[in-house]
Order: sequence, then structure tokens, then C-alpha cells
Amino acid sequence: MRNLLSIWLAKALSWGLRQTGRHGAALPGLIVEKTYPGFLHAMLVKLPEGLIIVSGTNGKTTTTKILTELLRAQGKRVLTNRHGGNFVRGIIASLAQAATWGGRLDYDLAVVELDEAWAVRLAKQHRPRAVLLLNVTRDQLDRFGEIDTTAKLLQKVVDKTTDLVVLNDDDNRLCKMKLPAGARAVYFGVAAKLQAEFPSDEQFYGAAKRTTPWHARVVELEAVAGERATYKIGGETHKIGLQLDGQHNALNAAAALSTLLALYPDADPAELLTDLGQIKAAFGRGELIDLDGRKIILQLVKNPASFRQALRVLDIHRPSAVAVVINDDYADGRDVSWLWDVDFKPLEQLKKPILTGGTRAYDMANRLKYDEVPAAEPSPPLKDVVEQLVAAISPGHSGIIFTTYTAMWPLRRLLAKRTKVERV
Amino acid sequence: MSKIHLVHLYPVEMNIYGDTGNRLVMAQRLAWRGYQPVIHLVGVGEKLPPQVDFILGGGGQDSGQALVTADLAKKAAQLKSLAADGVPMLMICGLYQLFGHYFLTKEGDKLPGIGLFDLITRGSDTRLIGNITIRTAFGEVVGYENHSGLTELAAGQAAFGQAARGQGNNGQDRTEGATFNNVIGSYLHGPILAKNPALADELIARVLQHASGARPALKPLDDALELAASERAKRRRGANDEGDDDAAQQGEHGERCAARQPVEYRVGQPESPQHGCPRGRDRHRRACAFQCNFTHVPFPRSHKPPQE
Repeated sequence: MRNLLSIWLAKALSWGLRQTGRHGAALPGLIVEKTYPGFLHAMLVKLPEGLIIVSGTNGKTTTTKILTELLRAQGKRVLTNRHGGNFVRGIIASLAQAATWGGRLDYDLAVVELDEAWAVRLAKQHRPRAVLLLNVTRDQLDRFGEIDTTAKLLQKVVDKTTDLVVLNDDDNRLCKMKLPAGARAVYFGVAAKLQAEFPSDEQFYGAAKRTTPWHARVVELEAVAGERATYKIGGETHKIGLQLDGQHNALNAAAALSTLLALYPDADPAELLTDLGQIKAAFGRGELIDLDGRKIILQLVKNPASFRQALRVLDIHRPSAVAVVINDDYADGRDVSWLWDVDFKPLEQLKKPILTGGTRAYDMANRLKYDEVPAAEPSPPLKDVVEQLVAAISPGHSGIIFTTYTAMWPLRRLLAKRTKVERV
Repeated sequence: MSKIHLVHLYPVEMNIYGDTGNRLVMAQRLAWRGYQPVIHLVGVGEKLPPQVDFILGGGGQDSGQALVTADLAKKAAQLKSLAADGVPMLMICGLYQLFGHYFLTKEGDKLPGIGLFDLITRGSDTRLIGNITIRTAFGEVVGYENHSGLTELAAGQAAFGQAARGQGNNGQDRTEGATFNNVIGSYLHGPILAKNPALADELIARVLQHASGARPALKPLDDALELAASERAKRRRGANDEGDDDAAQQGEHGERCAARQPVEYRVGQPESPQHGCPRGRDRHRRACAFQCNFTHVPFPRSHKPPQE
């Protein structure tokens, strides 16, 4: 009964929020969490095929989207937190929304993305059936302190897993995770000849690369060129075209494929890859926005690793203008020292000066100065940087905005005033 | 064109908070003035080059610190003799700690340092994190601190500066960093030289003076961007801090809310008078919490401390 009341309460609150033009997940989630702390477990236990947690530093949102869409193509009814409710309250709200007024949950399983700290909290309340861990790199050190601390948090999530742990075999910290009794592990990774394209956190600072895989891989990324990727699955080689930009997303897809194949060994790899070819980028992760014949690509950057990966999309889109927007709010990381761990030389190829915006626009412009990449006079207000960017893109060409998290939302809203942007 | 030999100590093990940027800033500011910087990366088991004009070290993780202590002991005599000879050095965070006598970790392990500075560091459950401004003999210096080690200077040990805002060596006595001859130790990331061009140039002047015997007049550079970035950083709130962010706040949630999470994250932080939370502010924070929760996905990455 408490369960039902919680659902009604959350549904009513969400409805109320929508009437006032908002669509927050946090408030209904918070209220349910306070009134009925056991709600999460009581609901998740109803899912016959359990809970899958996707965590790690980079690629959570895209991987969760890929895995969810692949599972749906297999006929599974999947509950997910695609609205960016990347914390436990967001999941509570999603569960309440998804439940019928009678308290039924018409889903087979849930796939949720959570950062390392939140993943531990969820796993403590409800043991996941499977956990997919993508990578551990330096990120938000103002919050986590050290990379090793982050890895320890993920080990706690693994400890709670009942059936399957999916790990990136190329990540030095993840491939050494200890398994709890009763759980099995499968691994994904990139082929030896591709290793140079996927350096680990240590390698950026000169450490040697491990060249032999620790474990056999369920899915291995063999090659990636532009939008074509080659996967090795169970001894067979598959080539496909992806609609997701960048090598890192080809690896995220390998992670999602590994998870699905380990959970559902009967799934047909060829069919999965056909489905994979239809999946588009998640919002802000290489998202394409059309604007009067010009293309604007929104590329989220969060830390040195994701920024370095993101810079590679320059080769795919060959943009005529680039803006870098750096905020330093809590969700961005308050310390912007990390910008100095990114090599910005790839931006040199651009003919126009790089635009900079956000609360730390001056830091960014100063960073570019030391890499001798020409930058325009910084313009912290996002409105200005968007205007300058649009003006700088030649018709028929594209422009890229590299942006930290909290700037991405206002940027999308600013662009939505000019053109159609998917509502998320 | 004269060559200037810059040594970066332990770039693999001790590099975590962007301190590699200090190397780039030194090299570029030398190059822009017509000198030829030569960078030497010196890792565990590797020797210092025959000519050393400047040594730079950064912050690392606890595990990185443990990896370098044995090697550092082997280099101790040479480093001390270079320091006594007046070679400028800049040691940030982790290596600053190991330039003291020892670092006693939270777990009770004693990592020996080289004792170039007369100081000790103890690990703690508190992490001192946030934007920091200090007053030094080189003028005001701006940066970002992130350390759980608390450093205590011995009575005769000179501090690098006094924390005007932020925590400094230990959050208690307002001292920040240490100096000995031309060696500077500090907790400031940012990277420190990127945000403080005057400090970078003072180090360069000392490097050149040590290398050539005469202190040169440095050609001035246009530092407008550096100073603007540093001015912004000064106005940004530190995680341990309740100062005012500037008005350039971009989110749809008001800037007041931005302080909420870091404040909660202050796990085990002793509340010093200037960082305490008077009742009124607490109410303000609750109001913020409501506002933040009410708007769309403002803080998806956390609403609670990330630590267990």
C-alpha cells in the first residue's frame, strides 16, 4: 500500500511540475525517497530480468542508450533513465512514472547509468543483476580526489552484483576487479593494433602500454575508420556503418554488445549489428543540430580523456568554426586545471580563431594561447558565443561546440530558439 | 640562442591535476623571449641530466607518491645540493610534501621525504579543496587546492605565502607552501604558473640568473588573458568556500545553488569561523536545494557526497 501511495504521489507531483512547464525528476524522487525509503527495492524487484547498471568515467549515456535500444530491438521492454536523471532520485522518479496506477511495472528489465558514487548507493539498495564498467580516468578530482578512489567505489558495485560483470579489459584498474561469489565476468576491448588509438590514463603521461589482453574478449573492436567499425564476435568478423561519431563510441558499442550477448547468448550478432547501425548519438554527445543548412555538432567534454576523444571528431566533420565552452560549476568540475592535460594542437587546422565561452572562457583562451592556437576574444555569455559561432559557419558547412555539462543545457535551449532541437 | 634545461620530475607518476601545464608555461615563456627550452623528463630509475636549470614536480595520487619515494631518496643528495646552489625549483602538492621530512598517511604508513623543507605532512580524512588566493613575496598568487595531507612547517621554515582565501598548508595557521633558496613548494594547482605570470617570470629571471650569472631584464609579454583568467578564478567560489561567484553564471538555476553540493561534500571538514554555516545560510541552502531540485536536471551527477 505504501508502495502504491508513493507511486501516486510521484505521478501527481510530476504532473504538477509539467503543468508549470517543468519536467524535473529530482523533486518527485526526493519526496518518495523520504516518505518510503524501501520504494526503490520494492519496485526493482518486480523486474523479472533484473537491473543493469552502466558506470565508469566516460561514455555512460551513449552506452546506456545503445544497450537500451539494442535490447528493445530484441523485443525486451526496457526501463531506462534517458532524461539524464543520472542519480538515484531520478531513477525513483522514472520508476514511479513507468509504473501503472495499480503499481504494476510492465517491463522486463532496467538499464540505468550512474556515476561511480551513485552506482554504489543504488547497488546497496538493490543488487544489480549485471554491471557494465566502461573506464576509469581522471575526472572531477575536486569531487573524487583521486582515480584510485573512483576505482574503489566501482569495486563496491561489483561486490553487489549477482550474475554478470562486464569489464573493459584494456583499463588497468577495471580488468583487475575482484568478482563476488556466484558472479561471472566477461570482457570487451580493442585489438592490439588499435591500442595506440585508445591510450589509458597513465599513457598520456608517458607510461608504457600493455600490449597483451588480460582476458579473452566477448567482443573486440578490430578496426575503426570514420564511421565504419569492425568487430570480432565469437571468432567472426563483422563490418558495419555507425551513426555514432568517434572511436570511443565504437568501443562503447562493443561494451553494449558484450553485455547483451553475455545476458542473452541466443541473440544473433549479425542482427544486433544491423540494429546498432541505426542508433544515433545521445543528446549533447556528438548530437547534430540543423540550422538553416548549417550543421552544429554539440560535443560534451568532461575531462582530459573525453576532450581528447572529442577532438578527433574534427577529422570527421571538418568544421568551419569551433567554440569551446567551459563552465566550472559542480557538475563540470570546479577545478579547470584539467584543461592543461589536453593537447589542443588539433584545433590548429582550423582557419578561423577558436571561440571561447562559459564562466571559464578566459582560462580556455589562455590555454589555447600556450598551444599557439589562435583564439578570439573570450565571450563568457553563451548567447554571444552561439551568435558568433553561427555567424562564422559558412552555409552548407558545420560548426562544433565543445561544451562542459552545465553549459550544454542552456546551449541547447539557445539553439532551440533558432531551430528544432530534440526535447529530452 | 641559449639553451635552458628544464627537468620535469616523475611526469608519469606525479601528474594528476594538470601540473604538466607548468612545464608548458615555463617552456613557452622562455621560447617567446628567444631562449631555447630543453625539456628533460626524469622518471623512476632515471638520472638527472648533466645541466639542470630548473626542476618541476607535480601532484600525484597516494599510490603515485608511494612509487616515487624510494627513487627520490636516491636523488635526495643531488637535489639538495642543486637547491643549495640556487637552482630554482617548483614542487606542487605531492612532490612538495615529499620535499619535507615525511608524509604520514591516514593508514599510518610513513613515506620518507628528502627533508629539503623543514616540514612534515599528515594524511587526514579531510580534503581541502577549492579556489585559493595567497599573498606571497611574489605578489598575490591564485590557484586551486585539492589535498588531504595537512602540512606543518617547523618554526624556522619560511612559508611560500599566507592564504587570504582558501585553506593552505593545513587549514589552521593560514600558511601556504614553503620556500628554501630558490625552491618553492606549494599546494596550488591551476596550473599555478598559467594563472600567475608574474610568478612564472620571477622564476624565469632566477633561472636565467643562475644559468648566466646576471639577472636579465625580461622582455615583457602580453599577459592580458592570464590576468583575466586569474581574476575570474579569484571570484569563483571554492568548494570549501562561501565566497561569491561572479555574475557570469550561465545555468538556468541561479548561481546561489552552485555552492550547495560542494558544501555538502565537505566530509569531516572542521568548520572554521569564516567557513561556518550560520543558521541563516543554512536556510538559504535549503531554499537552494528546493530550487535546484525543481528545475530540470541541474545536478544529475550527485545530490549527496560521493564518499561512502
